[in-house]
Amino acid sequence: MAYSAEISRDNPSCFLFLIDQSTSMEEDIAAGDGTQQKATGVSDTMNRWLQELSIKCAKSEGVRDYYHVGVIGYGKKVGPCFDGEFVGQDMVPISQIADNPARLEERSKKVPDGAGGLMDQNIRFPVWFDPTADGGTPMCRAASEAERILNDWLTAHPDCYPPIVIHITDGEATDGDPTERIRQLTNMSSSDGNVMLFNIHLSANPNATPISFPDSADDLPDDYSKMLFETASPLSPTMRALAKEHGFSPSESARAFVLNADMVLLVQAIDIGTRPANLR
Amino acid sequence: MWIRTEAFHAPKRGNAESEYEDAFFPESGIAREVSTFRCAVADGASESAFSGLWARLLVRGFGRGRMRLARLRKLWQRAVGNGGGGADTGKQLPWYLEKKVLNGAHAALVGLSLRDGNGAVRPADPAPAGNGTDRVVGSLGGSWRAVAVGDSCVFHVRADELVAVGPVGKSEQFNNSPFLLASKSPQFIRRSDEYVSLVAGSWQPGDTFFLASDAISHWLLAEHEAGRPPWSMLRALGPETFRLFVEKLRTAGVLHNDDSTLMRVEVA
Repeated sequence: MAYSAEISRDNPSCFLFLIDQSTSMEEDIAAGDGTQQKATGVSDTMNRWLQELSIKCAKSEGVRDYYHVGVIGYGKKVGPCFDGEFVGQDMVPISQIADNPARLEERSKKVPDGAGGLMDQNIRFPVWFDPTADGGTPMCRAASEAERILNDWLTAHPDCYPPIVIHITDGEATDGDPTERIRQLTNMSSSDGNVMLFNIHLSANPNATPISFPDSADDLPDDYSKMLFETASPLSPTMRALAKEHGFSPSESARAFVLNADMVLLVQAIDIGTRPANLR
Repeated sequence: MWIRTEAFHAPKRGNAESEYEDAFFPESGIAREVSTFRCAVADGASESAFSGLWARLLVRGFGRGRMRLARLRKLWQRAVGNGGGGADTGKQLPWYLEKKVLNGAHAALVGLSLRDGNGAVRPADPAPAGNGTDRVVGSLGGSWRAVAVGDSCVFHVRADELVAVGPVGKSEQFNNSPFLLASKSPQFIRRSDEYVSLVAGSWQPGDTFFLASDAISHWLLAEHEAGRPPWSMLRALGPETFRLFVEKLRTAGVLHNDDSTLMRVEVA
């Protein structure tokens, strides 16, 4: 049965993020009661997600390498966008990511005081990414880079739980039609199933209605969003169950595609795409 | 009554011995005459940190008749605050453990109390203090009671018959989200009743009890349901044969790759 491989330190899986860092990511989108720059929303979400994954994989002796994570930015440059310790590395084990944030910020958090109340506690908050928005949208090059990285990963880990790619973009490609290159990503596979691709479209349009996990392209506004819908993977049964936990109602043919995502939806969509499963 | 116990364990395939997160009490096998006896198996949750420590505190607390959760939680917090080593090292936890321990550790627990004669077993019965080694023949039997939270199970076996099992009664009832005892949840004590299972009965000389964490319990129930009673084979197990047996079942795909623990308690 596909998507049932055990995820262990001997047989890790990976997440690969493709992040649009073009100039238009400076625009604002809805965030709670106000607005937030798209690039800031994406970097906050990435920092929060890396924090959660590190904690999920943490045991008393340290963080276990159930996953490796790659983050490819595309804008003025195309390539891995971790700084510091991992500059230039395609895939980084989660233990190294956890042990080497760019910085640790002190934040106050309410925690249970053990007697039914709450108390303030200073918590260290790790930061790996800062907002970046500069240059065009070289999506074709980013997809080719992702294909190379996934090919290397699958050669080294042929029986892994299939890699999950999260692609976050706000605009049309400026270096050609990326359709076939993106489609190629989900044609790749391990012995446990095909690579899964989530396409998440951020939109600055304040009147746009978010569309989450649709099963048809009929209501999508343009060829570009239709291309992102059609290249996205079908949601797996596990992901459909997670989507229902978040209040969505995906049909059996729903795809891993979200249009006009605000920050809440972005966080939910990434959670649905990446919630660790089968950890051993 | 005469009690003889032996416990066997095997960490998950791929994990080191130091990463084993089940626990059992007593930690060494015993063979002696006692009037009351308590033993326990706990299964620390894979998704928590310091859950092996929590499982050890729970089985020792139950086994020694000092099962006050508030006290055990303090002991856990004190040890974890020091990095889990138990000594005051003053070492700060890394940020990810600092956050993770706020959620506490979780574990399933099954504890068994045995009493000679047919009187009721009181929950606070102390651990046996006797150290005798002479077998006294002729016990008429007695009563037993098991307390469980989660999916670690007790099996009461007479000859080759399963007399009682709990808290899970069928192999199909195992899932990945049992209710567990938390090291950080003050609400639990007030809401515990619906999650605590009690199983009780009478034992006869020659009976055997098995306590097991979930993977082994699941397999035992499946074998029983399939008409292949495994009890005689389990009575013959030793530490080395247990590990070989576990590895064989894992390879055959019939035993989940999880920490595996089995305690055998023979009573006469």
